[in-house]
Amino acid sequence: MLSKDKKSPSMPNIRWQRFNMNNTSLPILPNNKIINDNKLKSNNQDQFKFKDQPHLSHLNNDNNGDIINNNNSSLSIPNSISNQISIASSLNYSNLSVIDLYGAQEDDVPSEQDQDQDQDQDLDGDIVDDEGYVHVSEQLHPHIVKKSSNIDPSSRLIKDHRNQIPIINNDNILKSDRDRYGFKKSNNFISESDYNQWWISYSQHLIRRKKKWNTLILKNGLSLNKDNPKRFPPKSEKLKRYIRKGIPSEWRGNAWWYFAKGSEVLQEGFYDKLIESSIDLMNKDVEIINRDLNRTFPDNIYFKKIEKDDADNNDDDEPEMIQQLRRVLVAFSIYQPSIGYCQSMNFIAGLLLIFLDEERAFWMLVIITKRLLPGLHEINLEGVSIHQGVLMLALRDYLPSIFEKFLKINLIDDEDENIQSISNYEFLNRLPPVMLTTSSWFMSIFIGILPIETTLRVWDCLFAEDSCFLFKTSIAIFKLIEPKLLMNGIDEMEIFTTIQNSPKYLLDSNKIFDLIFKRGEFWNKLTQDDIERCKKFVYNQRKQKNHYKDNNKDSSNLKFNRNLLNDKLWNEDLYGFKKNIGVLQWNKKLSERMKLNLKKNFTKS
Amino acid sequence: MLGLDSAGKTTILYKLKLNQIKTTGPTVGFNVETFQYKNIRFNMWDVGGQDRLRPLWRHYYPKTNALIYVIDSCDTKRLEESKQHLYKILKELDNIDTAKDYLLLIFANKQDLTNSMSPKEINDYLDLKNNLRKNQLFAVIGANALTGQGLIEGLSWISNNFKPVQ
Repeated sequence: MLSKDKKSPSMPNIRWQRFNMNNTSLPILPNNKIINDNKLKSNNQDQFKFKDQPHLSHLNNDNNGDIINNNNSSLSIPNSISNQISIASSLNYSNLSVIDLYGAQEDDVPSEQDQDQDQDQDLDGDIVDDEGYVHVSEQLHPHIVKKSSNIDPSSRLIKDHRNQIPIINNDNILKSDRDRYGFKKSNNFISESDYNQWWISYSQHLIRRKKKWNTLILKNGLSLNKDNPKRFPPKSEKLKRYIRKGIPSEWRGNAWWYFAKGSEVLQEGFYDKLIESSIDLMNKDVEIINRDLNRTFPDNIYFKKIEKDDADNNDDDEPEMIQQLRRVLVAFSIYQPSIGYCQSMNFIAGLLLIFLDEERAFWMLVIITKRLLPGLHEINLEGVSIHQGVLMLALRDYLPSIFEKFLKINLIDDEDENIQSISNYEFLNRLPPVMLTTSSWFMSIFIGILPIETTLRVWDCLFAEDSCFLFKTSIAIFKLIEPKLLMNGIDEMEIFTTIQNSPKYLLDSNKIFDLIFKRGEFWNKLTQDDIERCKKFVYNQRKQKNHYKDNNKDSSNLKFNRNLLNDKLWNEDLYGFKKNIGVLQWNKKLSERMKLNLKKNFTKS
Repeated sequence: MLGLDSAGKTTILYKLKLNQIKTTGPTVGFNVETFQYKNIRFNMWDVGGQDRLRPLWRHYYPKTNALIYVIDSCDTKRLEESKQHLYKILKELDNIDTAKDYLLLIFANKQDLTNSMSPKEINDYLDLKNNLRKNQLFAVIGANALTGQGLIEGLSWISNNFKPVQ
């Protein structure tokens, strides 16, 4: 990491142009077809056993086309089928293609028997390794970009972004050191064998859930769209339950977009214009963005810097994902100057990009920062304090002994009894230091706090149920570690490290989700309205204490304050959301016309 | 432990704690770790470096015994910014009663990279000698967080000069 920073202290040349797959000479098909895994059995299995580090394989080969051919041919796929494998969808500018070995056949729901068969094959390890696609796609990049250097950005409106998440294939996951999203399975908290052990049972959960989702979609008369549904059932208790048990990862991009009402926000062509206007832009935000690009998921296969020995051109070293990330963040900083760029947004945008195309990732970032978590990333971060204040209020109600313990931790040691006094809400004005740990829970929306699978489950519910879900998650985490936090003789530092580290062990997302929704616990009754009320309360408390004057000397106070509170106070017009007001205006006009008519009639008569 | 973003603070922290190179991203909020060196228990706080993250922690200067300030010795462009940042922090600490008696250790990090400035050059540039209050102990130590070079020297310096309260 360090050396990388040094290599590129200044901004590398940026390819602002996005590329169009149509210009490549690669086989192109409009959509990924699903391949029956039986047909993919390879005669050369040893050769295609999963490689530990498939991403390094590009070092051995420079000819992209050859690699693709190699893969196809040695997979022994009959021509007719190999034609159906979408190496790169023409509608899909994503850097990955998916060869779907385990999905439902077209729109059919797989029968129970089929599924069981498939699973057996997976576990036997007797199935062709589909991990080759990562390898293929990595090879694709330089090629694609070179071939499409002068394209019209508007020609790239992606409406059919195929998710990049490979279908569950236990064999691959178990043999790889990476998960389905390209992250390393192991870290300081979770070993690879822990991961594998969990994955063996969790993948069964995923398969079960996927089957139920398939049925749900079809029952609602919606299309599975070749295992890539774009529309989802209307809100219902059942749907809510399904989302809470996890959206299939292959569908997540579309599902998030759908549930967060992305299409209401998206303005056609707007993102492309932002990118165009950002060419050659250099300011403080862009500088910081550039520094952070290579520090965003540096372990992830898609973000990892491509290391070339014979690098003649520096640009080619930059993975496509990093370029996308730069464009999204820079475009956002122009679009929303009151936020600009705040660290943690790189992680949010990065995770979005794993699941969504660039344009939709951008708009999702808009939704997150303006609609779901308003104020949280604003320049002086007052929104963070407000959210932390709400969390304190929630703790006070739901986990009072933890709350009291937190009030007693006072790093500053200035004998300020006020902070410990509950009655005057001084703790909202000067948040207990423990809240330092939880600020990143909200700012990064649990990325890097919870293991990735658990984070994704939280995101599912965030988009479907709004930010109250983040509070529920936080409280459940505290509930889990409550015994440890309340141990006799635990010192302050241990409290900090416990809060910091414990969530990182929560690989088993079902465990924490069961707790979040445990019957009889009050926090699962927490509604978004409660949260909004609390936010307003915290805001007013802090305002009374002149906190804002203190914290925020610049004159943009007024504007800033408005951004702190949520959508109801938020002028939708400003941010490009569709206005509900339109109807009212029309009515007003109508009533004016009516009045005029009446007048006319009146004068006539 | 403070310093500009991407100076290497988190890498230093985990090198000391785990003797591992953790590929780190920008720190949002902070990391805290405790570890023992010689007879001293270090509670080390590594705080997010981006300037705009300061509101998160600036009200919480803990009972500071030692301030470790990390500088990217290669980033000559931002050296001035780093210097300003350091003086701003020192000024803030001056106003906090509980943080009167602290050691100031400066890690001139990333010494492994070619064209990095030497600790001496950095020392001269920061000009601490003429700007610190009297009796303020400080040291500028060259470091390479990746190999751990210099880190132990830094801790030794702290443990040798640390006077326990009371």
